[in-house]
This record gives sequence, structure tokens and C-alpha cells, in this order.
Amino acid sequence: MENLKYTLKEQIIAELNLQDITPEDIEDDTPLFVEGLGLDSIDALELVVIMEKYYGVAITDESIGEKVLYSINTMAAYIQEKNAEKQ
Amino acid sequence: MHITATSTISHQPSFQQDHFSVLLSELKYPSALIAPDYSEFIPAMDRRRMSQVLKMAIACALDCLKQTGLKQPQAIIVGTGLGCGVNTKTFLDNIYKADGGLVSPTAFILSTHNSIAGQISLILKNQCYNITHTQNSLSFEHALLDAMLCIQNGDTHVLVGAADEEQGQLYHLNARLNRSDFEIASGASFLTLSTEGGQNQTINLVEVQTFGLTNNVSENISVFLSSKGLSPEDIDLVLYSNSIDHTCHTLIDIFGVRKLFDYQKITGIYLTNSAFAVCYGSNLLSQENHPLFGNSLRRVLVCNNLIPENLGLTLLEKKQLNS
Amino acid sequence: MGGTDPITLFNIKGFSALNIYDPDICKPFDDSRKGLNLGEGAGFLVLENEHSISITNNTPICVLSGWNNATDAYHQTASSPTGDGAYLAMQQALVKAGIGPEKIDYINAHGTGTGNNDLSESIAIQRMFGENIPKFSSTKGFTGHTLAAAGALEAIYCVQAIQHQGIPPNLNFATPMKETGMIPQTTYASGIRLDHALSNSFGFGGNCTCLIFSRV
Repeated sequence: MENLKYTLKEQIIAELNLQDITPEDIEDDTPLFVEGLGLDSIDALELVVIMEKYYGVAITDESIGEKVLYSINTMAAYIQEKNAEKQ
Repeated sequence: MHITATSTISHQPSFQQDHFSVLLSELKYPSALIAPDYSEFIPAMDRRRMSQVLKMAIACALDCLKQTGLKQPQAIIVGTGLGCGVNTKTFLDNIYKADGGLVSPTAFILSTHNSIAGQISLILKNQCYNITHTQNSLSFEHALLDAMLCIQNGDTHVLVGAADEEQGQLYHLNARLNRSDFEIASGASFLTLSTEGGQNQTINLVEVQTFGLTNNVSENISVFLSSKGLSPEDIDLVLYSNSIDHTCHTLIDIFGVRKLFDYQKITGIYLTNSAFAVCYGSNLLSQENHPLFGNSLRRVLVCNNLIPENLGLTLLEKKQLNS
Repeated sequence: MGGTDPITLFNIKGFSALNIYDPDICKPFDDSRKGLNLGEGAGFLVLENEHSISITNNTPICVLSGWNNATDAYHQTASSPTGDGAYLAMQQALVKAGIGPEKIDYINAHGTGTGNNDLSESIAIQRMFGENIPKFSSTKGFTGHTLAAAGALEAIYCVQAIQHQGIPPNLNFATPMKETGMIPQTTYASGIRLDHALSNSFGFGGNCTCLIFSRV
């Protein structure tokens, strides 16, 4: 789980081209949007692409997206949940 | 109307240098864009998505406004030949790589030509007239014409400029621009046009004219000058670009070889490098005791013939007010 | 002057990536709208000034009486919740035309069918026209969003609306959106007096343009 979270942070930094931010700067429970990391609506679409591209997890419903993409913790938990369902 | 500020990022040390016209030298291959630290101009969260063309255009736009103390121009007008083609290519690559899967929208959003003017308005929170002109090698001149119309229709301060970044493949498709003698380059150049000039002297944008499908540059120049009651003797310096030798011979016949300077030697080749030439001309005119020209310059003509059938003519003039 | 654009995979993928592409038929101004459809087309108009007409002797079919471009300065793709750019563009176009908002008989809306555009545009129209909103429709149910051609096509629909004194309907509308309750013209309206028509065209970067066409 810790590895997954760290990798997620690395992927987010790379794909969103975040400047001067390292995985260590992102807390697991910090909100990713607005008041937390400061991501915006375009980043939300980028995060959906990350979830599908690297983890095969599709997010098609906006209300699910809002909950899942809230923080690193919620993203990692959703990936694990979906992987468990597949097995 | 008056040019009240210029700002240009190029392969030369031109940005934020009051007298950059004395710092220029012929480009030696391979040269690179001399870009400032964009973090001084653009917040990190905005900057991360921007290609070079957006960043350099925004930096020049903000620098112009800083020089004039102007918070908001009444129009933002941009010329660009190839616009955000780098993002267009990125998005096409992403579609290909995704192989039918989801694609990130970022490159698509910033792939349109009007992203440049749009991003300047977003950074400034400016809600005024916002237009992009893309007319191949005459994109900048068309932007200038629009800016002049804005002033004629009652605006007092207008921001106008041009930007193009190196997109090797696209230039190499065009044999006329893909030349061994000059390098493909990048650059952004902006200026503010105003109804009010400086206190002691002012640089005026006298006239801009474009000619498409021209086959008689000599006649075009003659008509252009006489429309302002001028003859070739009234022009002190001609900054020109060309892709065929014929243009150069024509200009020598009209103006004499000593008045000519080929600005492609210092800008390299890109579709809006005439915007650099206009900033350069303005800088030369504004400088007292220039090491090459002293105080002899009064009128500078920018003659953009980068593509043989396209001709853009821009005339600048220095006016002393209190002498 | 005019515009042209073909349908490309590039644009389908782009609008899909933004989650504003509806693979089903688009429903401008409907509460259940899910996104835009892409279309393709080309449209051209000939503009002449008085001097030109004195030479060509052409009979004008319409007058371009007002125009303006303004910017939302809100977001790279989305329109603002207050519709500032659209409002400013309409307001200044009316000033240039020298007429008040009550003179507009028809609005050909931008009306792409995306959640964001149609709401923002509706709010801008409410701000501009208050209680007296003129008849309006989006013709994108017929054409899809033809992107660079859309401004020209919709300018032509306004010219034709004035020529034929009729208003083209807004297709696929059933339920007004909750936020505004605005109802577009859903059937072809003929035989009405139409002196001034306004065409809205908006683009990325919050770029908003309005044109006003008037009877000769």
C-alpha cells in the first residue's frame, strides 16, 4: 500500500508536470483539489487517465470521481478495491 | 500612434535590456533561445502546462505592461504563424499511444492558435478584445493592422505582438524556409501602441501594409512610401528579410546597399520574426548616440519578404517633441 | 469572409478527453444535455461598404450593424458561472449597433449542448435581457458544432431569419434547465417581424464574439 501511494505520487507529479514538488511534499490525506494541492478541473481529467492507464481502473461516474480523486489515500484504496474485485 | 514599450525574447540577449540593439551579434549555429526565468512572470500551477511559445509571449506581454505602468490594455492582439503546433503534435502522439484508450485533454486545450492571446488574458484577467491573426509570414503585420484599427476606433492603449516557436518538422516541409544559410529559430516580440507618446521624443508607428501574391516588390514599396509623401531618400535604415536573392537586389536598387540590414542574421528564421525587427527598429530609434548610427536615424522601414509572394511593410519614425 | 472545418479524429478525441462530447444526439439548453456533437461545414458571406455598393450595384440582403469580441478571462476551456465574456460581447455589440436590448428579435445562441456553455450563456442572456428574453434557439441540433465554420454558418442563419422573417427551431429540447427555466424556440416560427438578430459564438480561452444583423 505504501509503495502504491508513493508510485501514485510520482505518476501524478510527472503527468501533471507539477513544478518544484516531490512525492514527500504530498501528504496521503491532503485534498488534491483547490485548498490542498491546488489541482483544477483539467487535472481531474488527467487523474482519470492515470487511473486507467496505469491501473486499469475506469472512473465513469462524476460522483464516484469526486470521492475517489479526493486524496492519495482514497485513490490508492479504490485501486486496491477494484483489483481485489478482479481477483 | 506611438510605440510606448517593446519587449522581445529571442536567440539574442534582448529581453529586459533597454538598449538591446547594441548587444546583438550574428547567430552562430547552433544557437538557442535566451529565455528568462519564467517563474518571475507565471505562477507555477499555470506554467506547468505551457509550451515555450506561451511562456515567452506572456513574459513579453507582462514586461511591456510593466514598462508602461499600464494595468490593462484595451485590446490584446497576437500574430502567430504556427501557433501552438507543438501541443497539436503532442496530442496527436497521445492519441496514437493511447491506442483507443483515454487521452489527457491538456495538450488539446492548448493546441489552438488563440491559446496565446487567451492565456495572456487569463494571466491579466483582461476581458477586452482578444484576437489572434494567423496569416503565414504576415501574421504579425495583420495583428499590427488590427491594433491600428483599434486605436483609430477610440482605444488609447493596445497590446500587440507575435510569437512562434521552433517546430523543425514543419519548417523542413517548406523548402523555401528550410535554408542552409539561416537557422530555424524561436521568438516572441510584443509592443504597446498608444495615443500618447513620451515627453521628449516618441517612436511613431506610421504605417503598415501587406501585399499578398506580390510579384513587384519595387512597385509595392514605391506606392507605400508615396502614400506617406516619402521617397526612398527619406528612409534611413531598411531592416529586411528575404528567401530569394531577387528581393535583395531590388532593395539595393531602391535604397542603396548601405541602408540595408538583413535581420534574419540575428533572429534566425521563423514566420513572425518581423515582430523582432519592429522592436529592434524602435529600439534603434529610441537610443541616443548609437555606436553605429549616432543620432542619424529618423525613419526605419521593416521590409518582410520572408516568403517571396508575401510582402509586409512597416514604417517607424522618431519625433522630437521639445526640441 | 467565412470559415470552414472538417470532422477530425483530433477534435473528437479532444472534446471526448474534456468529457464534453456526447456520442448521442446533442440537446442544447435541455436540462439533461450531456455534451456537444461535432459537425463539419463551410460558410462564406460577402461584406461590402457603401462605397463598394455604389460601384457593384449589389442589393444588400442584410446589414451587419453591431459586433464585438470580449473575453471571459476565467478558464482555458470553461465559461464563467456569471457569463461575463458573453455578457460583455453582447452589450458592446448593442452599443455599436446603437440599439437597446429590447430591439433584438432573435438570438442564434452558441448553445453547444455542454452543461457548462448552455448554463453560462443562459445566465449571460438573462443578465443582458432581464425579463424580456427574445426568442432564441441553438441550431447546433441540426449541424453539430462546426468549430471554425460555426460563426459563419450561424451568421448566415441570422441573415436568413431576417430575409424570411422566420426563426429556426432548437432541436431535441424537452425540459428547461433547473437553474434558469429558459425555453428556446422549438418549432419553426414564421411570419414574425424580425428587424434585428444577434448571433453568439464562443471559443476556447473564454473568447466570445457577438454579431448583430439588421433588416436593410
